[in-house]
Amino acid sequence: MGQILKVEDINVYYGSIHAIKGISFEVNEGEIVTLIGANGAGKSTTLNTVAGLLHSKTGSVHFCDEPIDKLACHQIVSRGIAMVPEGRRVFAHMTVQENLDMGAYSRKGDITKDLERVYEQFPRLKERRKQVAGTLSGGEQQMLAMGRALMSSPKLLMMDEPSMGLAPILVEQIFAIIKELHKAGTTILLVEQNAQAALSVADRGYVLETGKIVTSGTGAQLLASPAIKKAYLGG
Amino acid sequence: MSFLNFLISGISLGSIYAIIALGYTMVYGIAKMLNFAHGDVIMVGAYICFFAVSRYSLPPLVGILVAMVICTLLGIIIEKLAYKPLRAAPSLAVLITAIGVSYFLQNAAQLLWSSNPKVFPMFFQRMVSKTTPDGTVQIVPVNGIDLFGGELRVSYVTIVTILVCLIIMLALTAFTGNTKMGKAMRACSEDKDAARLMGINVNTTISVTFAIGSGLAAIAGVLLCSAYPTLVPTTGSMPGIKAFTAAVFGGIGSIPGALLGGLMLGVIEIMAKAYVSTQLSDAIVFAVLIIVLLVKPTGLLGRPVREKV
Ligand SMILES: Nc1ncnc2c1ncn2[C@@H]1O[C@H](COP(=O)(O)OP(=O)(O)OP(=O)(O)O)[C@@H](O)[C@H]1O
Ligand SMILES: [Mg+2]
Repeated sequence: MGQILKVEDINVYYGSIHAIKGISFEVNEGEIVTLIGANGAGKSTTLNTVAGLLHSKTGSVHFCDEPIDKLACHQIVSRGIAMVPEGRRVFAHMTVQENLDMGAYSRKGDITKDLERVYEQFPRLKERRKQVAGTLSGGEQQMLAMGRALMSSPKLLMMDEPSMGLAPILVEQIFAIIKELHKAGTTILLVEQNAQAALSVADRGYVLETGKIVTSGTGAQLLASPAIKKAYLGG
Repeated sequence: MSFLNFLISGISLGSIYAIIALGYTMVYGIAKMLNFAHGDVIMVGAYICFFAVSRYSLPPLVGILVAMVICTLLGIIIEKLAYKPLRAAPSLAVLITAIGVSYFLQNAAQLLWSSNPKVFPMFFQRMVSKTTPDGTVQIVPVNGIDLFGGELRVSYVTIVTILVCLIIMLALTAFTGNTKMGKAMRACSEDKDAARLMGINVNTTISVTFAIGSGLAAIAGVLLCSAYPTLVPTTGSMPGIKAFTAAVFGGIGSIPGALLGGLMLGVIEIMAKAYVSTQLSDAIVFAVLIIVLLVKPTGLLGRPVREKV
């Protein structure tokens, strides 16, 4: 199992706000890795930096052994990273089908197979393929955001709080899909508020606190750690 | 019949506004900026076509194509040099820059081509032989058709303008609805970061939008000067402002809105001129605009911003 993503000593600023303070971590091929931490810890900032929406002042990001930290977002995406952004961010005025087409924007060649696969995974989307995405329910939008990211057949799929604002039954469904994707060999970097659920599907996890990594370990280790239990799992 | 005459000239003028409004509305939709230099690109297009045809004796169609190519390039260059460096700047800075570019183009035109009015050539006419009462045969230009025994006169410019406007609207609707680039443009206009995450090069998409808008501005310039043949360096500014108004009227960011807004503005303007007062026509146009915006702040076809949390 090779390293697919290697982040070394990144420092990210919003103007004068120092949001990420020297973070390093890696993701191996086929793994689910999760970043957990309180609100404002810097989880989204980290994902956005890997995706190229933000850039680090120091350090480096390597994807498949190539540096990507100087590339623009669209170049990084075309190398095989997809992201389900925080808050879904579907194109509200475009139809479900068009949203999925946009997901495959950087791909060349036939996408019908991928489209079928996504519709198989999310039958609800197929029923609503002609519907404008803005009129979907929150859960349906989340499925669309995931389906859209999958349309690019990414080597690395990053998800920022895919269970946010969903009913428990839908959260379960989302995590079932994450497990399924994992089984099918997709490498996943997952950010979650729901630490319990995230750690139970993850191979490894990192705990962020105010822009720094404070702990790391396997999912099971972190779940069992008393400090983590106290801080993130409610006892 | 005079009402019908006014209506047709209103629709024709409105078609020109609509074509110009497209440039404002597309650029606003994607770059979220008001490109106040757009009206002056129209003027440049008209001058290029004028010189191509009058000085270099190129056929009108070639003249129009040359004007389109040069305006397209001009649009891309303006975006690269003046607006792209300000992508992260506050919108007021961008607006002031746009006004600066507008004056720059007008002054450059004055320097290059002087402010003496040029008389734009008649493109849309046909030569027919006519037998005069005394029996001689003359070749005279005819620039329109008479209907209802001469009561209704429709000039070729009018017909061409309306047709061209319709074709452009249909083509753009097909482009944004079906092509990869067109969909990328819509995606960018909704959410730039999400578009980037799809692998869309937002800078390229913005350039393409400027290119299309400016190419259309050249067509609008030629049509405008064919209908109102006096060409000076400020020719584009008033129609530019009116077309911007039309874009807001129809709902800025919306392509069908640009068509509707343009047509309504043209018809209201001509009707106000015909039935109320030539001097007051612009005031009436803007009064209607204000009323529409009071009732519907996003314009006739504008979409309210809605967000799902
Ligand atoms: N656009 C911005 N401008 C200024 N500061 C920002 C911006 N975005 C985030 N921050 C700050 O950076 C820090 C990290 O934010 P980030 O969004 O990465 O947190 P997060 O871990 O994803 O939190 P949450 O769980 O609430 O989504 C926070 O202190 C936040 O206030
Ligand atoms: Mg976040």
